[in-house]
Amino acid sequence: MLEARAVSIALGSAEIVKKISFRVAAGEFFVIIGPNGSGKTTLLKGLSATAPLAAGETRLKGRPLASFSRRELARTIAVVPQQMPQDFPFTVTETVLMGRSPHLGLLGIETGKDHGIAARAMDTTGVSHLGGRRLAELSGGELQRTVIARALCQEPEIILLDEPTASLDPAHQTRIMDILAKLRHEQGMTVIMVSHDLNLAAMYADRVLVLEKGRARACGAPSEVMTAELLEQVYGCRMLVERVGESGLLTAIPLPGQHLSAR
Amino acid sequence: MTTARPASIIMRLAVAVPVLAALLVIAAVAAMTTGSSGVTLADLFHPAGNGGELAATIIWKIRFPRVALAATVGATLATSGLVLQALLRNPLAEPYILGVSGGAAIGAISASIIGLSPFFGVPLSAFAGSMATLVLVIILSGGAAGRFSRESLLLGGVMVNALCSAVIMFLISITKSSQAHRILFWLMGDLSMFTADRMALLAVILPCFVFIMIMARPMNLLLLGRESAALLGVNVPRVFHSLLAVTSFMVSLVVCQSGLIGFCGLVIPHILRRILGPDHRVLVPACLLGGGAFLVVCDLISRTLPEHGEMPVGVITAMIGAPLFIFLLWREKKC
Repeated sequence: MLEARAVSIALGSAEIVKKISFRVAAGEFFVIIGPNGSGKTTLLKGLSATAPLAAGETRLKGRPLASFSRRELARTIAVVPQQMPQDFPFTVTETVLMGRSPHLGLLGIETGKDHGIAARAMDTTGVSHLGGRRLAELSGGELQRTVIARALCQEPEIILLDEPTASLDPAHQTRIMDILAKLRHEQGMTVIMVSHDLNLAAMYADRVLVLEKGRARACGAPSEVMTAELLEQVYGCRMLVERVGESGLLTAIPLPGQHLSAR
Repeated sequence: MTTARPASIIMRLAVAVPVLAALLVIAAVAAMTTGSSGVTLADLFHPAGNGGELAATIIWKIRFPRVALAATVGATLATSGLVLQALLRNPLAEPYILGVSGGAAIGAISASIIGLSPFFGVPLSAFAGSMATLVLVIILSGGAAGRFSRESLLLGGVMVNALCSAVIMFLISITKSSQAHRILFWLMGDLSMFTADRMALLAVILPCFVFIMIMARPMNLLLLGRESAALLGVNVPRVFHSLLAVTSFMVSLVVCQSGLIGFCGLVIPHILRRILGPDHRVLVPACLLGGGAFLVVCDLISRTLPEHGEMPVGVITAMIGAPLFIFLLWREKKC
């Protein structure tokens, strides 16, 4: 579905992402993890064609990403960014409807069909009751669900998310993740996500990609990749990795006061 | 908690457009039936001898072109202000404040001093001047990288405006005194020198309005930032550059005809945004009609208020616009 071939991305003179290759299959739940500054967000920008590649190539359905128009791309890939502008003056419904933009005609006026799609998207993410509110009046969880609803309105095949659960409480975190898992199971949506939350990554991901200083350190199923040894090396602190509960959920917990001098 | 869905775009257009169009028509009729000659609409329908013909001539040949010019200039300035505010994500952007009008004025004055044709050479030179200042302001404010801080943009505008004023004063100082007075009056924003045979020039502006109307939705998305707009399918560089070029083209045409009229592009979008909300698909037609009505009224005041002659319309727009804008800022700060 989406493929990176030896992708390098530079911001200014610094090379942030270095020769990363991977391929995400249709309907896969793919999570990118790694410490701050390891290039996760920049890699995501490469995958959405918003950061220019210094080397390598990204392909969507076998076609180079660069050969797609912005409009074509927006119909296939939806992105949930890390932040929304603080002063965005529109209401929840208006914001969600903006997801219809890549499907609209010349004058950009929505039809009843577009309103229907927006209503369903808002229902899926549970923001229907917030329709008339302005974005500034929303809580963090409500805002995140609004932006995901907007992404769904694009009717994409792939959804890219940059730390969608950061700054949310545990209940909201799982709620967002459950929405994504449901989309994947019911609509075959491909989910690619950057996350700092190792436990959520282990719980939901089919595969994780571990980045370290701009390079791909490992890529595979969470149970294979997320070992204490690897995580300790990448993050530079002691880690407790265990299976807990009846279902044997994989958890990774950093241990206090034990930073490794290697970093 | 409010669950009411905001009125749909069609509904809002269906209310806003007729109301503003009615305002424009009322203003135009008032302006066409008032003037120093004392001819009113009644004279048109109750002709006494040759009076009817004379009244028709005054109303249609003298007052109508002037009202049409005022409406077009007002519409252009208000829509340009709206576009610049959206593109630069800065509510204080406006062609006059950013120095775009000043740049156009330099182009126009130097072209007329050299003796270029007023139908082709002067507007073209004005366009070059306005584009140059706009690009300069954007570079000064660090906008080449896509980031516009509010302060640096205004500062850039103030600096470029100061430079423009100096160049304009220099140009005036080297012209003949008879011409200099005319230029000075024109600089203050003057609609009196317009004649009916230049109406065709204004027709060029119409396609610009259509283009901006089509760009209304991308402008909404640009409020999310350049990157988010791109992710929603907007070809950001193309939209950005074409809108800047079209805006500066419109402004330079208007400056050639009417000089520097400030605050129209600032106040009208602000007021309409407060009433109608932030959606550009409503705001573009609203600014077009509302800006037109505003300047027709201002022009009417400018030629009826003084006992003798008239004053430049730019004086009126600034006197109405500046306090209104200060009031808006003050209210925004309070709540």
